[in-house]
Amino acid sequence: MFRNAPERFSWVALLLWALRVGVVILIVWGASATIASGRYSASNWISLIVAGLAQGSVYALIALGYSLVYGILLMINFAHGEVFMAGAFTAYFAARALANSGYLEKHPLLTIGALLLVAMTTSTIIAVLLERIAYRPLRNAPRLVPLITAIGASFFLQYTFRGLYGSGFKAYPAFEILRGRWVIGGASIQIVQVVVLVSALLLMAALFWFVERTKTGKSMRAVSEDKEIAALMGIDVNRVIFITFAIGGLLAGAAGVLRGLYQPQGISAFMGFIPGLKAFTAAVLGGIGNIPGAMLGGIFLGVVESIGPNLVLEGLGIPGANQLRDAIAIVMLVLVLIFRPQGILGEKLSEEKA
Amino acid sequence: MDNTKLKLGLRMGFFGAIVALYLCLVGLIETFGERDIITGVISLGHILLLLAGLMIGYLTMRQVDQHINPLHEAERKAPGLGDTAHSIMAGIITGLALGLLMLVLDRLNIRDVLVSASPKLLELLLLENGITPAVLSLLPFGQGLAAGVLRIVVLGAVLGLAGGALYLLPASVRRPLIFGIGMVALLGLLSDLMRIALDQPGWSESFYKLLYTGRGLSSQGAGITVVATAAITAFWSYIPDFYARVISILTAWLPPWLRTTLAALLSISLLLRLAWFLGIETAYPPTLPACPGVTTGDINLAQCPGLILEGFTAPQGSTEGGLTSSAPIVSAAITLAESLMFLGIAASIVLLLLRAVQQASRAGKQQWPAPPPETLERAKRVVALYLGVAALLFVPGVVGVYPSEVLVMVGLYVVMGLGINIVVGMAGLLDLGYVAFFAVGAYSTALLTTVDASVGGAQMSFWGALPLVVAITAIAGLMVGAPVLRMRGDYLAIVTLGFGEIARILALSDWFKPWLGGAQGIIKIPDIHLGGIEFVGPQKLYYLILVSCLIAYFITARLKGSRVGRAWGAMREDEQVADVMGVNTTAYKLLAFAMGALIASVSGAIFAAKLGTIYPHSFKVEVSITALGLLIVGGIGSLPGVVVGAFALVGLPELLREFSEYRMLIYGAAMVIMMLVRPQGLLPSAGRGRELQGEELGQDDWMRMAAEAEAAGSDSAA
Repeated sequence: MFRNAPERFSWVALLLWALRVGVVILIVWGASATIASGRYSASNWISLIVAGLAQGSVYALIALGYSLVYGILLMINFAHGEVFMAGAFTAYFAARALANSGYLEKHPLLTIGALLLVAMTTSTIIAVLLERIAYRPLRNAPRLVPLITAIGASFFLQYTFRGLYGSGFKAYPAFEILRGRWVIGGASIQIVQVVVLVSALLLMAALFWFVERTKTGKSMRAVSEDKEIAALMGIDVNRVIFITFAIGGLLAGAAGVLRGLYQPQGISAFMGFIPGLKAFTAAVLGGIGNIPGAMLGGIFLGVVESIGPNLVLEGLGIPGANQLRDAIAIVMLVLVLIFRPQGILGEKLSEEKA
Repeated sequence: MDNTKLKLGLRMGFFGAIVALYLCLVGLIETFGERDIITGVISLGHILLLLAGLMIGYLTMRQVDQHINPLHEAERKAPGLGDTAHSIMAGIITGLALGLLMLVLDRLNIRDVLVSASPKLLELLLLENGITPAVLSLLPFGQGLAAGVLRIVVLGAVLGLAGGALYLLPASVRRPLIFGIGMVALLGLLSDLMRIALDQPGWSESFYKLLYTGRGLSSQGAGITVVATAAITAFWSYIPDFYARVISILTAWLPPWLRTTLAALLSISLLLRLAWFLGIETAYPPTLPACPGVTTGDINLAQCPGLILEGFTAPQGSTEGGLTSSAPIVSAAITLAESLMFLGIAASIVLLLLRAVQQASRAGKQQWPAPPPETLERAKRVVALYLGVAALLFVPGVVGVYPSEVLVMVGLYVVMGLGINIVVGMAGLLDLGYVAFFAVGAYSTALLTTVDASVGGAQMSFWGALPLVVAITAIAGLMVGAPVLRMRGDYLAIVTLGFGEIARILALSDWFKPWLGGAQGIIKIPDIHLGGIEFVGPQKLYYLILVSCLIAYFITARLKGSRVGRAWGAMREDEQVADVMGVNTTAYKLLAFAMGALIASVSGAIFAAKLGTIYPHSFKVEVSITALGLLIVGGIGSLPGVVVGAFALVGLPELLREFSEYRMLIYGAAMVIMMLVRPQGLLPSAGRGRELQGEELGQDDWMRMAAEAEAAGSDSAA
């Protein structure tokens, strides 16, 4: 449509260009300095990358919930991080009960299955209730209204679960089979990370199949394309939205258990906030509303977050680089939104969607 | 019985059961059970349950009333007492759920999972302990679990009935009743505050003893409160008339020179009192030296009447206790001004009496002479302004130290609320990282003024630093604003949230530790001085905050109707249209961020000086959410809304320590409920909230309105 006239000089554009160049220079400089210093061996990097992949696959599972909902309702379900927390927290009690009864010792895999079931059920219920109570009545309201509601719901859920289950961190019981390490080519890899990564990939594959191959998935895609036309074609839009939230909840619940399995410091009622923010970043990174994009974005974010502090920040001589891990994701979100708002895989969004 | 109504009753009962179980299991009932409202009779936890029951009954009745087939609108008839059956049913279901919970609590130990499911909760639900025998005899079925379960079910039914009946009552009866009960809850909640303010030797002590006993209201106090509040509510509508009558008499019967002199004397003595109050070096906790009329301690509500009288009768002020050299002069001036004022008041009273006698002597010939309406209106406004200003100026002296502390916190949030109102309310940019500006303001103040040699070195005075702080924060606002210029709505919200987090992470990190002090923060921030006044302690800081609030309000009010405000409004409603109409959206967005930031910086600067130490922990995302929440609860774009919101969301939790754990829970719920039920806020600003309700004026409405206006115009012309 309109081409930006190059002669129209704008300070903002200049600033953004300077930022772009500055970021690239900083990254290259930091990375080259670290590599040149030889502080980390190749096997170190492999371990970090695998840890990042595991972490990233959890982000990807949560990000799918954001992306699916955004694709259909064009709204950010700000409380999705709390859906994830609800599943992880509830499954913790199931895990403890199973560990106490000795069932965990005998059938660890079945136990993980049971935990997934508990967490997915809880998260789905929370997600669906959220949609029904907080979002559905506001579906035609201006866009800021459901967002404010979502923020309120997010804090409400955090403190509700703190009130119900208590404050403080709670660690999942130890699974013997997940404990060891594999040594592959000099790099030691935690088994639990591989298990997390594989389970997450399986779930994503299942989701992909569901959306692409089933009739319900087709109606989901139709609704995300155009709600009104889809309704005219005989699709029950409310039902599709319900299913979307339910699927988001299922994936978030599973992500909660996976996170609980490898998170040594345990889980708490406030565990959902930062992963929620990061998963949103991942969804944007991959192109929000785009399912493979969310998967890719999550894994990419996990890896960057895992190696970023050591690779770039330490090279720049910043002390305590690992403290800034959470900031990396946010900076990435800002950079992506500035320079490529459509994400890695996203199509150019219309003004209305962006 | 109507089938759909039956379903409604069942559904509301189910809803009530969920709410009641939620309240119990999330720990609210147990925590609030510790707080007596009426000592030995009822705790806040019980009140919460009672209110839940009443609400269920009330809402069920409303649903039954409103639920009518639109096709049969003509057959609609007012609900009768028979319809309370549904309310009772809903109440019983709620009661049954609680009874079931009691059985579970008694038989199973679910405390491992649900931490609040404690024996304490069971005890509270049994309604046996902490209740006077007289009340216990009203609750039938005696002791024991089975009796308790039965009792709670019956109580549910009774509350359902009461709630339903409340709906059926005419508003003139319902309002005084609700206000009376609400006032009991409020006074009971504020019992600690009341003890500090009132439990002083003198007349206030007997007043306190009349209403309170132990940690809550006494039974008779509760009775008095209900009756008095109900009476006041019932006669509330007459108060403006009464006020107008009094002003009318005063303006008509007092000669103008006397009114002017009185007003001038009043102002002078108030200002002198204020100067006295501010000039005295108050340690924290304050030990005020003697002021004319005040013997010891801070100025207190209890002593006010006595204070004025004593100030009149005992004119010499003591100069002990580190007063400045000007103290005797000020004290003499106070005495002089107040003496003259009392003389003037006495003269006015004599004059009024004379006039009344004169009037009576020729009764029937001439009624009260009414002043011209515009004079009356002006007089009413002036008197109201006087009362308002006096109240604002003297509130910290009257209420004491701790409530002043709360007022200071409320004031800080009012300033922030006004600032975020510019960004969110006026420009429509949902900024969730507002705390970052507050933090930048606080940190830059700390760095510029601290006398701690290990960080900063400027060691400036607060006033010297303030312009720099404002400038720095405004630049920070621009820096946040620039990258997010092209983002809209929800993206902007998340990114600003991220910025807020980044600010906190950086302040905490080792990287910035040499400059920002890491987790320990910055210490030794000096107090604020201005002339001879040292703003130490909440009672004095209050004035600083008050001035900041007024400035922030002034800025907001001036911006609102200005070119800038209208440009923001256009941008908020539709950015593309605004752009096309020639609004430079880039510049105005940046301006909004900078304005919001600089207002927050003032709040942050005072915050830093108030605490003397700042650390990253004070600048969590919760601060942004609180500021946003008070704006939403109060009403976006309205100043009274911001003040009310700040009192509700900051003041109340600050006063009620039990709330602190559930603060964010309540904010979250309030935000959701406000958006669902009343998006324009409690005290909406005129003409706003349309955007939030989504009822935008359609083209047809415009045309209709234009046509009507035209018709009205031609009518008047004809």
